[in-house]
Amino acid sequence: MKKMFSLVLVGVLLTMLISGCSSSATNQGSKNEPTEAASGQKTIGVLIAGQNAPYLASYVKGLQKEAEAQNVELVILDAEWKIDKQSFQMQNLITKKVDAIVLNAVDAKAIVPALVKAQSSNIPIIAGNVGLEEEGNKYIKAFTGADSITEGQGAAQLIKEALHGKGNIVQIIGSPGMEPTINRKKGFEEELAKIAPDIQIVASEVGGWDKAKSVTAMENLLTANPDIQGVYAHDDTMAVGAIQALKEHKKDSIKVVGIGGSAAGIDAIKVGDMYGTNLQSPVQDGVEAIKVAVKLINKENIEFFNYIEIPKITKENVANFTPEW
Amino acid sequence: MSSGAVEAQKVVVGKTGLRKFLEQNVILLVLFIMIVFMAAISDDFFTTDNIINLLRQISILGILTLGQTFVLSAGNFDLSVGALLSLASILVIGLQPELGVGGAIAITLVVSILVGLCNGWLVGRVKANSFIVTLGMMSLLQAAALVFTGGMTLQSQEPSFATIGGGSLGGMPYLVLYFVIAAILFQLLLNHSVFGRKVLLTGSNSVAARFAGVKVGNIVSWTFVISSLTAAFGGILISSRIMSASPTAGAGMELDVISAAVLGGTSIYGGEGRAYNPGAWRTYFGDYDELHDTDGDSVSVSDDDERIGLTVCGWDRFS
Amino acid sequence: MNNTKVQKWLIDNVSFLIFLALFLVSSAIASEFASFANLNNLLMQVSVLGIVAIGQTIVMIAKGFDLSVGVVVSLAGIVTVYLQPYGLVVAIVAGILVGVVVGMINGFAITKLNINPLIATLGSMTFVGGITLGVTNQNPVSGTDMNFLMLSGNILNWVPLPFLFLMGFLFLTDRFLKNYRLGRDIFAIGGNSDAAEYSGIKTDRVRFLSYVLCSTLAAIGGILLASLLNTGSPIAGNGMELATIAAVVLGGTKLTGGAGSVWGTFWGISILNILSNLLDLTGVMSYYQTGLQGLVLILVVIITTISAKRQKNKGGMLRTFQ
Repeated sequence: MKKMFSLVLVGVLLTMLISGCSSSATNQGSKNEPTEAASGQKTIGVLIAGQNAPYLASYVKGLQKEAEAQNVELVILDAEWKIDKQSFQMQNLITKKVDAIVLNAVDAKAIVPALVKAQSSNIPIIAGNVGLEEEGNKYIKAFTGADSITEGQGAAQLIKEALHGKGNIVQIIGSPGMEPTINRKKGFEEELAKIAPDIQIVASEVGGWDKAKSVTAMENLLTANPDIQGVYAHDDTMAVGAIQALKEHKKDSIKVVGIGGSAAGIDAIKVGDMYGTNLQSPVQDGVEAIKVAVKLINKENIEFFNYIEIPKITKENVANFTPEW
Repeated sequence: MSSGAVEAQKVVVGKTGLRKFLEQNVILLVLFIMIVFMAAISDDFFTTDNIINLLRQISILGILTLGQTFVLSAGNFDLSVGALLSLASILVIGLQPELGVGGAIAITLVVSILVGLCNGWLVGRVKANSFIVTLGMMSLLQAAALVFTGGMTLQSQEPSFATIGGGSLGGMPYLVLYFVIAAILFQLLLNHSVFGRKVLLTGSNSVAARFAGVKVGNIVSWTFVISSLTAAFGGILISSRIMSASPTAGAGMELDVISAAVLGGTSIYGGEGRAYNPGAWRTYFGDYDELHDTDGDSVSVSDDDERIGLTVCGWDRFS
Repeated sequence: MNNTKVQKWLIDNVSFLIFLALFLVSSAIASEFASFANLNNLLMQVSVLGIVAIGQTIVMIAKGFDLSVGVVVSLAGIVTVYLQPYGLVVAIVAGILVGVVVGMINGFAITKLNINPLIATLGSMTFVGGITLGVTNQNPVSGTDMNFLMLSGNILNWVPLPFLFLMGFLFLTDRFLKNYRLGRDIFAIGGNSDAAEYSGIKTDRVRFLSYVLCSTLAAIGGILLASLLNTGSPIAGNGMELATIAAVVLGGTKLTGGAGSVWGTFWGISILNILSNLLDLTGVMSYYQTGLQGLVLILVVIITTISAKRQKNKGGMLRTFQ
């Protein structure tokens, strides 16, 4: 009886997967026709760091949306956060002779040799969402995405507004060493020192872009620093984690500011749990990448840095935004 | 597997009571030393708040470890628990709009039982290697979680759902109560019941177990069902606690869970196992994070804390 | 009579046969698969993981585990890149030494302190992982010596040098395991440690050596990977521990020790690599790729299990000594 049941289960799993695969294969299969199709349609290869991250999942939607609008084909390869895999995938795209590559790097340094090898193919490459630093920038044509410094500055302006320029705050930072962590911290701290010298950052903890971890971080911050009025988290996921810890400890008068504009963040602003956030739209990010890539294919002139806008969201204007991730 | 039994015998033979107890429970001693050490160097350590925080932080992993103990005791591995935790945490929130909180929980538990049966059938009946079977199952479940959500994080819109993992009874969080109750029940089941003895016998010598009339395949299946159920329960609790679910919430948890179980005295070659010690080990892990957390008030210390937190838990290394 | 021989060969080489089938199917499905550039890419891809997996095979034949290979790959790469200013030879020797030292620590913990291999190597994974994150502050480091890149270059414009290394190590390890006393001792220990001890084998010493060999090979893999990426990164070896163990088991080595072969492991690695390459080339979305890989893993282990059962039923000998 149990044996039969298990057999049926395996069967169901198998069918689910195979049907899932074949449907996706047909979806994308049509996009993988040789690039020199009779229609002359151009192909853009996309190297994504990891589609299991909500932001990047939505980023891909932005890419697809604009690709459809511009009538170009996409080949999307996911490195699943492995640096060697991404450099092999770069080779795969060159083998496929795509017309341009959007690179969302897992690691800005480790991808450089693959970029050097790609030079001889003359395929234009743009860095999307993740910047490549100086050594990598030599081999690419453009960067599209958000400026983390601007985001940090925006958060500082929101914190100043929320606390009326005075008080103690704590910071929940992303994973150390990553570009957004460094610059969201830098932009925030520099701007805050300039516009609100009476606001002190009394402590920082790592939230690692993770909600559960940020709950713990906030609990510990509260234990060590009872006298705080504000929290700045490097993204909304961590901000919402912090809010949860604040509620559990009945400290919901403390103002929280984040970056991102995720569904959880926008919800928290709507109900008044969070003071505000800086919107970084993944869809807009993706759209911008394809726009610039198409311009490159058409040999139009472009700027090297193409930043997307970072609007501020607070309770006053939250109704105008629909969450994307 | 047979040499696991030989090792087990070696430990037992020729040891007097106290010495034997200490040898088998060295982890408790380590835990005790850690607590004294922590209390000595950190002022905040013995505050009620901190102790409760700490217990809450270890509970979910502790519950998974209890389930894993059964699988290990029967001589197998279950690597699929982390991915199953992710899938369960997603199902329990994703199905709420259609089925309500109760329905979503029921379906989540049913799915986990099916996963456990599938693992159990492949390992217990087909006799396929449990490491590979559950590694494959881990990928399958991870994929299912990603496909279901499209990579997005889900939010729960049902306020009533929050009490399951977020509530507390007289200051003691439910999470901790679940863990304590589960630890007691599982300890009784593993070391003081006929089923438990069959599990241990299967793990130490499956041939002998078969000759003794134990239905080895069934026993193995049951251990996987137990492990899957604890993973699903963990997923439900994590979702309820943070009222949202990410498709990668449990990624990398499997090695952490296995190591906790093994440190608690369960042999990976089967035949030996205790349910209460994994709890002790989880506490030890928790302590370690806590030490750095409460002391850390500058970013540089936080960096260390992150590093140690990450590496001790082996958490992000596989995600 | 002849028939059983054929059958035995088929069963013994089931992982090679699965590889072959997969290769043919891939060539048929994806037009770019059999292209020169892609095959070259594939050879490079199997090299690093293959070398690391050889070490894992040795340890697993001796009924052990090594979960620290991934962090050794990372740390050896980082050390080699860091020390380039002192000359490439110094840098590479230091990188290899990383492996030797970690292997000795693992071996010591397992044989002298009697710590369970899973825990001991998980511990060194934690410890060494902490070091890699500490020395790099979580940032990858770039190489400065362009000659270092030659290590991962192509020979005669065709075969990647790391692939030649892989072939060399495969050949040497295979000979070592089959034809040398020490190699056969590794099988004996994995088969039955107590019996091996009684028959005069210094089991601790042999087991210690297996861990040193494993970590050293992992370090060599790490150096080649660092050369390929011109970077030492703290996440370079992430996930390699489970990937190598999966490949080793796919290649027919038992988790319970005493049987296995490095060539089997090579085919195991190749199966995993071709599958991932094919799915990329045909543009299957990564979510489904993950699932499909899981499914293939389960199917392959079912096939190998059933074929092994058949062989046993036919009265075949236990493959303790190959």
